[in-house]
Amino acid sequence: MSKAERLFNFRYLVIAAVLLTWLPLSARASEMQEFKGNASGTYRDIFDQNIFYEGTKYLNFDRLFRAIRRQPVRAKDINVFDEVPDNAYFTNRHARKKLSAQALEKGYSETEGPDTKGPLTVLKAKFFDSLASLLVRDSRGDEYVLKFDPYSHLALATSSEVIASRFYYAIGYNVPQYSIVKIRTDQLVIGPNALLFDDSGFQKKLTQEKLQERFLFLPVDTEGNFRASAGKILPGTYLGTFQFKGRGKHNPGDSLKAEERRSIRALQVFASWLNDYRMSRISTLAVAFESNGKREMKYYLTDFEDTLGAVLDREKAPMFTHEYLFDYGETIKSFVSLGGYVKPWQKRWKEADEKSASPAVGYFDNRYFDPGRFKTQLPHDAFKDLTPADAFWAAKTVMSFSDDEIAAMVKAGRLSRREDEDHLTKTLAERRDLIGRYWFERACPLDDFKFSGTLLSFTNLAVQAGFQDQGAGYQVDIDQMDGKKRQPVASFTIRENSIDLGRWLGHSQNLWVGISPASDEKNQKQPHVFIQLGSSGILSIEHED
Amino acid sequence: MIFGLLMASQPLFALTEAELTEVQLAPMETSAAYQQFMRRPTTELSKLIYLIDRFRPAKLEILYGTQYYDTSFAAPFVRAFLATHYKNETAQYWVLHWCSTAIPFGNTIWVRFPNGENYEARKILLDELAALEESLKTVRSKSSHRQTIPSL
Repeated sequence: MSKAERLFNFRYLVIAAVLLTWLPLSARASEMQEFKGNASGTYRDIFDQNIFYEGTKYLNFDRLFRAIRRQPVRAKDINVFDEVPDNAYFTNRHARKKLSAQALEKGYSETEGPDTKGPLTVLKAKFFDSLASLLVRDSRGDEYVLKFDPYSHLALATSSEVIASRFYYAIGYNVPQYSIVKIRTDQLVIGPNALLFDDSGFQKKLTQEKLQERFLFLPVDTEGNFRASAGKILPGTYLGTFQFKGRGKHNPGDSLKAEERRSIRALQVFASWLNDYRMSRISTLAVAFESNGKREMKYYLTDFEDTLGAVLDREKAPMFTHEYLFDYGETIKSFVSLGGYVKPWQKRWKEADEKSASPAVGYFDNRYFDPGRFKTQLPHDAFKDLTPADAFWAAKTVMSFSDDEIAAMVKAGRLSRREDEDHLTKTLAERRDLIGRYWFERACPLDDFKFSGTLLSFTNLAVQAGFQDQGAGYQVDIDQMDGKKRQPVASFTIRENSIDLGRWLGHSQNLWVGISPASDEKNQKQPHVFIQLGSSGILSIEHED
Repeated sequence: MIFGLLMASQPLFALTEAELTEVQLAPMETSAAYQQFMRRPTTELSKLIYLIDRFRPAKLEILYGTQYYDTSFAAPFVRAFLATHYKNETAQYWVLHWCSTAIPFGNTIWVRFPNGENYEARKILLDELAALEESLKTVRSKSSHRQTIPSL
């Protein structure tokens, strides 16, 4: 056997060995889909997001160069029509197919809430500061986390949690079932191994006497009931939280980084709408469950007691949503100006006479609200990577809710005063318009493309919402395929919301149509939307990032 | 004994109507703290919670150690402190034990009124407690009197 033949045979031997070991492993991996847990905590999250990543961001050269060159990264969890398809994080709901007012008010629901006709067995109790929560099992065997209102703000935290859960669900995120429940202490039965966690830092055995004592700290309504939000424990295996940065550690099959997902980036816009200050990984949940004999993952948003005017056990502090927990930029501004720089949140607090609308609503208004400058408690790369195309998609979703639909979801909070419901509805409707106006100006606001015969038609969402008038019409640029190259063939302005493409369709299989609102000022670059057309209709839509 | 002597040696401090207006407090029976107190089971702990809630909206300042704090600012901390430091004592004993001197400074806790006058915190709290006990007695006697009236 010659040397060449020996080498040839050896090569085949190696390939065979690799195939024999790799194929069974890969087949096993796809069968098993083994998901891993990913623990997190508040302090770790604060350290990671606000100190470590913020401190080392200038060492991330890839991100730095992109920032200098103003080169955004296009989201990768979108389909050819520039939409987010249903996935483990997001399911298209209200923006795609309108939900009824009843469905909006009901939200995600597996049951009618805890069965309060029978006893509620307390499995765990947590009393920390003025926060109180219980893990209970009802007579049907379902388990719920009951979170009670802080003492001076009856209905504040509970209504915020339930209302925000309705909004996030209608938008398309997975949320656990939340409902308002009113209970008395005589309905609570202590479970045999029930534990109490309190400020002492030690776990103690929970007794009826201890529970009664702790309930004295909670506010009581006029009927003598304690008001709580009941979050149903989800079926499946809890695998901790999911990340807002990097690839998910739970699912080896998940190839996308969190900051590449539009559904995660857009949380910046949705959080700004709902005044969600603590939008972070600690308010998320990854759950593995069985579906048709296969193990699947679902990612949930949870714990919404920091939304609207509330933050945990009190009203939102004036600087919340204006500054990060450690906001280096704002600190430097104050330091350099020797405290002379008056921040927007200080002006806002002063204009509000240093008080909130009502104890049940908390501090929630639209004074000095800037959709582009809304800040959650911790900075996230995913939110910084939000492109105009992502924000347009999110704003379009926000704009799909009418005033009545917002009112229906606010009703789920079961606020006792009509004025409080009206205040929330009005503020959310105003904020919806502020978000729509802001992001529609920064992206091409054209949507709802239809191609019939040779006519391409569309809707200008900014005009439809009354934010803009028709103005100077639209600039249209048409490209055709010339061999393997795209060749510009026409450029013109139209005033209507439709283009007849008959002249160019016969010459080419594929057409690229770029449309942007025409500007009165020359050389002013307007964001485009690109539509690819083929013989079968619209092949792709892409809003410029 | 000490408590008895203390109570006997000092006149009862009661907030007059003018003072209530000055510190922006509603009369006891119409206050939110009292309404909440009446809805809860009456225990020594619930009386202490009432005291915190009663003075929370007041326009008063507390000198604790070397620093003045608004009552609205201090209330959540006092509640948390009460939750961890209440060991089945009477409300009066607890007030005397914890509301007399500041920890770890050892100096007296004072309450400053808007007019600049200072009063001992424990005295204000004990007087309010006495007023609450008085009100409870009245409510109880009224309810027992109501029970004695035969139904028509």
